[in-house]
Amino acid sequence: MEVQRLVDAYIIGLGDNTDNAELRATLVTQISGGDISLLDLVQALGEYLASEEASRRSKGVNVLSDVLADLPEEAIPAIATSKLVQFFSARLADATCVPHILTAVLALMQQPSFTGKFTTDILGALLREVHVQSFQYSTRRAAYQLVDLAIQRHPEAVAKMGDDFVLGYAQVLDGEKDPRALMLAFQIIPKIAALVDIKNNAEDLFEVLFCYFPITFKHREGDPSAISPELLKAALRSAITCSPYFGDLAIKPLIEKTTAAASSVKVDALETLAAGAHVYAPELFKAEMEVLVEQIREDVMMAADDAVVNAALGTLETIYGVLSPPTPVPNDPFSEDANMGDSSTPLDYVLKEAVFQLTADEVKNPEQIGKILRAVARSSTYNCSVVSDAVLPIIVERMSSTEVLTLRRELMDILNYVLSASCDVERKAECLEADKMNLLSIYRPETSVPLDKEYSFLHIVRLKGITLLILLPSFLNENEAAIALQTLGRAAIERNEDENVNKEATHLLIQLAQSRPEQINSSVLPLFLAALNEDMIAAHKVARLLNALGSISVAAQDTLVPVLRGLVTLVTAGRMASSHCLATIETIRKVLEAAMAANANSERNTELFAAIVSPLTEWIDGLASANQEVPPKLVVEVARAMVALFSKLEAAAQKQLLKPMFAKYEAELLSSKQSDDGICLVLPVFSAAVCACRPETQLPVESLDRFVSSLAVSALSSGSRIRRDVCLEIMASTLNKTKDTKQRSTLTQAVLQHTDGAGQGVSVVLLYQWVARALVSCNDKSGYDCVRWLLDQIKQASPHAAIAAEGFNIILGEHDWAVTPSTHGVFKVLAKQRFYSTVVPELTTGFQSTNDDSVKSNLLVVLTNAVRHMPKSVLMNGIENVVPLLLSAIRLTGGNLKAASIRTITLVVLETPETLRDEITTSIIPLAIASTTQSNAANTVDVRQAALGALSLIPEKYPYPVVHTARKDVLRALAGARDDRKRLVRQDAVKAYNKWLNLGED
Amino acid sequence: MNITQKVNDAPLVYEVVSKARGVQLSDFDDGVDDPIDSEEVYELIRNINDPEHPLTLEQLHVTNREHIYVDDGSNRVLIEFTPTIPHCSMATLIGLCIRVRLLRSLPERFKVDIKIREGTHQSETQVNKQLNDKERVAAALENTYLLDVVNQCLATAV
Repeated sequence: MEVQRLVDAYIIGLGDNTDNAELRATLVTQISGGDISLLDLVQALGEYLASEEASRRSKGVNVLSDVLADLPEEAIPAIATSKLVQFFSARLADATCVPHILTAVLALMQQPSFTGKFTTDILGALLREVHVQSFQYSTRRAAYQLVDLAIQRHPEAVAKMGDDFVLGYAQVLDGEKDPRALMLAFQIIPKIAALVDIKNNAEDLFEVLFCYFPITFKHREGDPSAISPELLKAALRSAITCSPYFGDLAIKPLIEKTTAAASSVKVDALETLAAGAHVYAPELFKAEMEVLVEQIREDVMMAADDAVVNAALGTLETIYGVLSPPTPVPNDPFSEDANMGDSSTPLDYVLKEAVFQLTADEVKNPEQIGKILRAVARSSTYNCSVVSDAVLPIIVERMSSTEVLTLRRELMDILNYVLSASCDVERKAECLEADKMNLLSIYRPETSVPLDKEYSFLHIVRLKGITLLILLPSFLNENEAAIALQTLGRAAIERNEDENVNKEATHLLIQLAQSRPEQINSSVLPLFLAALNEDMIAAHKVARLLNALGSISVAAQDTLVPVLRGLVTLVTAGRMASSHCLATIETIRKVLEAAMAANANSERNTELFAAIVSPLTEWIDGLASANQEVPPKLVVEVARAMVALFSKLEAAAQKQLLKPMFAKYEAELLSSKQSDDGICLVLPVFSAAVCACRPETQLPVESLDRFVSSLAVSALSSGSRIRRDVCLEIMASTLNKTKDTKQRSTLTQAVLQHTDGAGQGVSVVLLYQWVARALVSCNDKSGYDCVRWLLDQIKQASPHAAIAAEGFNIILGEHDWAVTPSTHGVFKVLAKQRFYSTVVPELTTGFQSTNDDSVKSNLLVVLTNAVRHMPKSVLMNGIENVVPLLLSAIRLTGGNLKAASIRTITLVVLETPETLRDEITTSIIPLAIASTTQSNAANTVDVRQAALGALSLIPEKYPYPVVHTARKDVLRALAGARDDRKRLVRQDAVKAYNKWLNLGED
Repeated sequence: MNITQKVNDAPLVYEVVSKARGVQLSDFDDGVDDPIDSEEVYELIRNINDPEHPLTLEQLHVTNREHIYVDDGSNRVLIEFTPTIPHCSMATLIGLCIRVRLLRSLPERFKVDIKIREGTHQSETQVNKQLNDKERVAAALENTYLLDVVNQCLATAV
């Protein structure tokens, strides 16, 4: 009786809409535990299931379906499944019970005991008895799921149902409107077509299906159903194109739909036709090709929408691809396709019109004709041959008989499209060989055509054609290809009125470099190098040529070494002007960087080093040794090239290469010479190599302690600025990469001990700055000792306080090679945060405790440097402590200090405007306005400019609501500043005035 | 008139010769006054965009350094501009742009006269009258459509 009580309570709960989860769980536990049987449950439900009242019957089935859904597999015996299927099949005629029955059947179908026969029974009853469309969405969804599950689990049973099933499903689907349900329903159709022979009912099914075409719906924001209009469209398309039986039903209406006004419908119809091309019988397409080609031609000629044009051409290509007979075997009379003998073939629809246009006095729409011809030609090798056969003789004939340049260009344009199709199908058309000489003469440079802007289109089209000839498989022989490539090369190099010709030629060469790298190396590269080697070559031409060479070498791996080697030879030959040398080395460096980023191959890198970087360093060494002029920029560029490659070498290779370098440079580095001359000039290259080492690379020195110590001594004692900087860079890099804390500490002491007796020179300050850079980045506390020493110098107003302050840029700023992430520098996380949180409070207290303006000024310089190099996230923390400092500096001081403070505030506005949101109208704008007045002696030209710079930035960085209250005052002040006695100030004032005037107009 | 149809489809475009005044030490000396001169006024208006083409008045030679006369002492500025063609219907609009630019850039003490260069436009007198009539300029700037066009032309000049 327990079960009866539970069932009654459940039924009452259903009536009251209360949560029955607990009761359901109890029933499920008891049945699966064997306390009660499924039969007991059905008996207890008896009075409900057999009730004459529909709602009671429905509730009864509801309880049963709920419990079945939760029951484990073993709790439902096979006999029970059989009885339940019988019961449910019979009850499907009872409309009120259908929703719950479908849920229960879905649960039952998962049982292994659910056989194919049961599937047939249930599906039969569903399709026969249930009018699915009269139910709400959840029930309809369950019905589709049931069909889907039946196909998945018992395909043989479904297949046996045959026509009844197909017809029944068409009826189930008929009238469906919910996109979610349609999605399910459409997905089932291809499965049905694959399983059942739908021949007899194809028309019924298609009729129901096609009325949804073209389908679209508006996806609502926040709609949880994960379907999109695109997915639904794709599902319908695969349903329509799932069976060849739909072919004769679908093609005509789809072609009709391509005439629709809406471009989305056109695209959908065209794409569906293309999707059907491989499924429907080709003969069906043949009958409709004339109409379809006409429509597609119209769409392409109108060219109103790129999507339509692309879809139209894509469809044309696919369908012609399907219609195309296989490629005939040459000299085999039996292989000739029946079509060849027919009076007309599907290709005629395209070719007739194209031939008509090509033979007309004026070729209309050459681009569109070319595109259509290309689409057809690339569909198959056979079609490619036919199109080429038909079109080429006409073009060749007309080209030889006309001198009108515009017509020649149009014809060449069409020819290019046909040739590009030949390249795409990777087979040269038969007729091309016969017309080879004609083709070559068509694309031969026309010396009579001036190289000015008016004819640049003709030149560009010709260059494209030449590229296609080169790309045509086995068309040009080696010599001809070389001549063609040289033509392209010359077009890229020679001066044109219109730079687009140069650009296009370069672009084509880059494309060719990927497929013909060897020919580029042998035919084009010498031309470029010879052009670069010319006397009196203009800088912009050098830039253009280098750019082209750089792009070619990056695009194709095989051209990399020859290009770089060629450039290095040019540089080291010594004929180039120094500015061109610099540009060339810069290109070499950029190409190396790009090549390293694209592909890490340690063996190749070592070869590249020997072929590229070594000759460059030897060349620059030679210049320096011969006491020739060596511009510092050139040295830096060579050093950067060294970094690009050396940093990517393996540690062992680095060690190997460092040995000769140390032998050559170490003595010079540590010498006591006081002048910047000779080999000393190229020491930065050595520095770059040492700094670019991996941390695990051993330097070829006897003792690291002694090495860094002597570096420190040399840096402190040398009068040569280059030697000093190089010593400091190498020392800092070595300290930074020493992983062992103890050893690092020893090395640091070895370096700093030399500062004791060295007085307070600039070199000492620089040494502390470089040690700080090395140690702060790896969170070493000794670094902060150095920072404090520097701050003390500033606070005590020592003679080198200004240098100490500026040097915070060395500690935090970027460098080309010393202690940087790209040269394997050790950068601990939160290093910058730590620096900011340690130094900024010291700056604040230092600022507040001094009355000396020079100290305040230097502290602000430090602050500016700190702010400049901090990431935004770090700057946000604690900026509130810094801002009052800066504002008081603006209020109380004048001259450079005031200007520096305003510039720091401007920097904060630029980087993190949100941090100053509260102060902007209350403090910053009034102070900036006050700083623009020329009557106040504290407002020097620099201050007024800085203030106007800040005011000019504010409208860009803050939204209208934040700053609009200040607009009137600012405009009044700026109108006054427009009459400043200094021109520079007036210019800034005008800029700021116009920005504030337009405030809020965007 | 059809707004999309251009009055002068293919104007002559001239290469811009940079004659930017370099920064000198005296520029930072507060003791030395820098009077406003024709070069400075030219800098203000040379980058105004033509209403028809994405080209500046300088590139079209509508404005020239030599046709700007400034007397800082007596607070007078005279600008003469040259329309690209004698029947250019944009002449008034170009003049209006120059006037608005100077209204927003020169100190308020200046009286600015804007004229079409003599003999370069068929309705020279009417346009000159219109451009130098305060009331008509003010009325033109009340028209939000016109102001938008002017602002677009001035966007490049800032």
